[in-house]
Amino acid sequence: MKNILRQLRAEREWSQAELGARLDVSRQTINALEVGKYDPSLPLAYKIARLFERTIEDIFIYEG
Amino acid sequence: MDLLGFLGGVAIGVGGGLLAKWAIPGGPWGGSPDKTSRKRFILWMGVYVVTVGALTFAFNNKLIPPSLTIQAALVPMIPAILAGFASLDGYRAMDELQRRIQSEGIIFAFFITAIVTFSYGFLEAYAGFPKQSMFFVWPVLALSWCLGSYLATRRYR
Repeated sequence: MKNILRQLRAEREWSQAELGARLDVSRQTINALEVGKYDPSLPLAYKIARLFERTIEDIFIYEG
Repeated sequence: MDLLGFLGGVAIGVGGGLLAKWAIPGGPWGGSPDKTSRKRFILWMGVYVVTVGALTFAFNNKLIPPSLTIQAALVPMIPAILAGFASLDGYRAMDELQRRIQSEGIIFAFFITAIVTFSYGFLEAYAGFPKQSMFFVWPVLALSWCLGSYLATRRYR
């Protein structure tokens, strides 16, 4: 699954650690999400969508 | 229980901790915000080391009455159990990716420990290899957990 998390984070000039703190996850988790090595759970995907005021489908692109 | 055994036990604990610190970013808790469980773990492991030291001294100097040998030998397990609960709380405080990494590391360790201990068990039973202490099981588990967590961490980089 691809996502535009890095782009959204860059627009707000947040570091990975800052975004992690806002989502209550580690910097490593943000990095794994951004590079597409890890797909978030549904609750975390909702938290991300709410934080960036987008829908889940706007941020995560399912390629199945 | 002799001095060599005590020093060996402490070295395995400290060495395993340092290896975990190196293998997993942020240490065994992977940078978790839960500092309380980490402090509790360190505290109880400290109590464990002191208890093993005191017990070694007491047994070497024959200070334990024979009727209390079994109970006294198991005293270090009290702080060890409390350290176990602290690490369980640390696991629960992790985020979802950290939990997945730890789970993969633990499954890897479970598998490696089963293979190593059963292989040696069969070698003992059928090939005349010397009997080994049960104390060897934990270092195998701890080292393979460190390796498994390291490999799982690399997968998600």
